[in-house]
Amino acid sequence: MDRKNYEWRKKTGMQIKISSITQIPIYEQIEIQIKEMIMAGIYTPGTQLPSIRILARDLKVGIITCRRAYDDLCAQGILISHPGKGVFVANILKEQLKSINMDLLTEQLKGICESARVSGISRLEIIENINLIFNKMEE
Amino acid sequence: MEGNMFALELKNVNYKVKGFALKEINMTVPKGMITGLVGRNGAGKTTLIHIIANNLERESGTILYDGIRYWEDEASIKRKLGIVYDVTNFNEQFTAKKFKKRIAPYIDGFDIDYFDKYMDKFELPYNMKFVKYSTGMKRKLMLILTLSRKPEILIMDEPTSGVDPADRYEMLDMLQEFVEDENHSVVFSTHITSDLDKIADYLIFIDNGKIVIESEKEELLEKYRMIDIPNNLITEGVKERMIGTKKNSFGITGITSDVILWNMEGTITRRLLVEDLAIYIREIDKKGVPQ
Repeated sequence: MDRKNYEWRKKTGMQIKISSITQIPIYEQIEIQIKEMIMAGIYTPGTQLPSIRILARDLKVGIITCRRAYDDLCAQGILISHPGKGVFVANILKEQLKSINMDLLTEQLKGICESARVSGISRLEIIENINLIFNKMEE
Repeated sequence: MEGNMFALELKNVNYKVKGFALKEINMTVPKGMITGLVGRNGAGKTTLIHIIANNLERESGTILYDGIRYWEDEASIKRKLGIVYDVTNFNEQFTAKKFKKRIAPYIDGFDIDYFDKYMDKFELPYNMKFVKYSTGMKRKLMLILTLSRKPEILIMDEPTSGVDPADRYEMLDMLQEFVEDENHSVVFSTHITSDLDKIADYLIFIDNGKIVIESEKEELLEKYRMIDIPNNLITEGVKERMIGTKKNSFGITGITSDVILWNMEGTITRRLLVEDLAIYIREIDKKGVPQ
């Protein structure tokens, strides 16, 4: 594979994996993973992201798909676009990061609740389980 | 982006031969994007490409190439267009070595370095006559030859048919490398719809010589869902709200744009693939694409 393609990946430690099996649209997969990398501190404010065309080629997805992911993240104030220069991670506050994280968690919890519902596990049982896990972590 | 938004613009294009016609073709190929052309065998994809290439004379209609008509600047349009046909259009008695020495130097703007880079990448032999190449090798060679001429609008007829998955991946990468320049555009026909699920930005579906769907890919795929409805939920009118249903022992399967059906308890839905649209193309043509 070409050098140029992977330069930004090495530079930023960005790792996006696209799955064609899941029901999550590809632009959403990109959005979630960029958010995760910001939360993990891999992407710090001011970091430049690859252009949509480079990202598309690297992930083997459409250009418009990548543009949609960037546009959504820009609208949420997570990324900022400087025309002619590129797209960067915005200067986001701690509270904003927390709310992004909460959104991500809510998505995961939705999946957990759905699995619980299907397998006949009650709301109370799930909450009890979460309490147990927290207790163990605090030990 | 500078200048024109469209690499190609077809307006009311008609073409007729005995037993086949292209009817009122209106379509655009956006600049800087990858557009997929989908249709069944005999739908008119190859004819359409020959009309765009000016190999066939249309009966009526207008074609704009990057905003201008063919006769306005034939030389520049010929230079801008790179066309990969479904059959070879070069002397198959040549070897790559001989081609490089005898022909390449006389082709305007031919990039020898690019040619060598991809000949090596695809491990195509320089000392073998092209006629001895396998189908897949010929396809790869055709793409390399065309891109070495540095076109701006790349048009291809089934460029990946007969090519193995590993080389197909590399060919798709070549296309994506090509559109890293936002003034470059790609349009290609294919039956390998998974390639379009991956890299296409726009889709054009053609059936019986007319355009059935022309849309941005994500937007189009989100209009429909593939849905399974079990027998006990098939009530009056459910079938009418679906496009092209197939029956099995558990119930019916099909595609629908009806959000009420998507959310109906007890049904199973999944996101659409380009292949699903290709399968139900005729039914979609009858019912029309939802707005």
